[in-house]
Amino acid sequence: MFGYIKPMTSELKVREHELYKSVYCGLCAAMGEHICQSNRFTLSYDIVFLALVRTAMTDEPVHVEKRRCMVHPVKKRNRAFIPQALEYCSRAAVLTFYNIADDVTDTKGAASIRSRLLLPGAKRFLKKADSPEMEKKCADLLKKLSELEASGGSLDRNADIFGELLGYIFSYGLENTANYEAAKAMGYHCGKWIYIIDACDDFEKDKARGEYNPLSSFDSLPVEMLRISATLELADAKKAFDSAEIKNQAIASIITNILTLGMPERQDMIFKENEKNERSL
Amino acid sequence: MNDPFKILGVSRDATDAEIKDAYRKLARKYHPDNFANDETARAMAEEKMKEINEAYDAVQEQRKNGSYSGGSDTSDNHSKYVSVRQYINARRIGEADSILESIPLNERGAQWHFLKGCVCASKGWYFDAQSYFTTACNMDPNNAEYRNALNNMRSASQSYSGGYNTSTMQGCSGCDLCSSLLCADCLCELCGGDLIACC
Repeated sequence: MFGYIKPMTSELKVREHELYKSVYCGLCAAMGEHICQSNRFTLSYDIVFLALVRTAMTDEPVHVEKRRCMVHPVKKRNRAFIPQALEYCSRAAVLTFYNIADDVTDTKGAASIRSRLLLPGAKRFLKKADSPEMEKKCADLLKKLSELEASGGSLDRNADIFGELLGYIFSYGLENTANYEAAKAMGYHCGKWIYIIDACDDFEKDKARGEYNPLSSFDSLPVEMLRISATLELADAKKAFDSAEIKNQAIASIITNILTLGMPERQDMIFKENEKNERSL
Repeated sequence: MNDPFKILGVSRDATDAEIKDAYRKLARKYHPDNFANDETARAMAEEKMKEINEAYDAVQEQRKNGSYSGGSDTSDNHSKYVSVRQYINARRIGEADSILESIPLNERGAQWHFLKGCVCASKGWYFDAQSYFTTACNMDPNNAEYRNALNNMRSASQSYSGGYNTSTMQGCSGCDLCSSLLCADCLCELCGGDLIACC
């Protein structure tokens, strides 16, 4: 998707880092199995995060094995097998990635989110993902988002819709479980965080090209306000995560690393870059 | 009392200088001394003068309190604001917001922006909340409640990100200090001097 959600690897334990990599590997393989081989190369860190959250929330057992694959044919690598969570994530990835491939009208705002999610051959994959209910919900929300963007809604109003979309994806299928609310809230706040960070990241570029950006009404980025907003989103996401009942402590501590170190690090990087641009102007 | 802005003949968003100017012109026109020859006209002028003075004081008072709203609507907006606060405390955000939206644009003072900020903050719309709180603070810089709202958001975000973070370490640590001194010592010794006598 965007690749903003990564752990701070220097702060992970070696075994946690190994587990993280094996989930990545497992997800890549699951995408190949359930959707299409070429689909494997669209995998991003955000989907790995989704896989970790789903695994933690559903408490599905994780089984790790050494396997060879076509991307790394020489050395065997650890691969995690978490059948349900990984199958769900590869389908969800396709939905968000390829959804609405056919109604891209311009490269502004929501459409640019789409075009970044978009790769060739979309329709064929959508058929394979085979979840019409989810597909419709995602399409509706993204349509709503692009309408709001066209009418010049505020940053928070737009982020709210994007958050709702991710909340839906994070919690789909968990409706009658104890962690439904927690998963939904986590998705919601992470979605809002992504939307805010993405708007900041693209601010300079969009301004130079005259393209839509939810912050385009500002001459320069109000960094302090955005930093507070983004950090409070993370705090809310962390609160939601803490409220969930999680048994798999190894995965829980990777997620905690991502929420408390990885995402703030990423956010600081983007804000610093903007401040640097500001000075050089 | 009638609308003080109408009495002075200025619009609600007039600057302080414009209001002063309008006040001076009226005061000159209706000064009782201008009507020294006519007793009834003089009495009327005195009456008018009193009205102008009161209007001017009322406007000054309102501006000082940061409320740009007229004299008549503050009282009935006040009761609305009280119920908005009750709704916010009861976490009935939708109701609070719809009351706020029912207040016309030209009557939205510092308190309105503060409460709107509270509504946004409870919804988790932190960026909008900060914008509204900032506007409230600018309209009424002396109000501690409005300033606290902004500061609370700032400190809440700091308490989250202020944890253990290696990447933002800055300045000169203990290690840096020792190694710098050792380097300086070596350099001094090269030139025949000595900074730290024992090594």
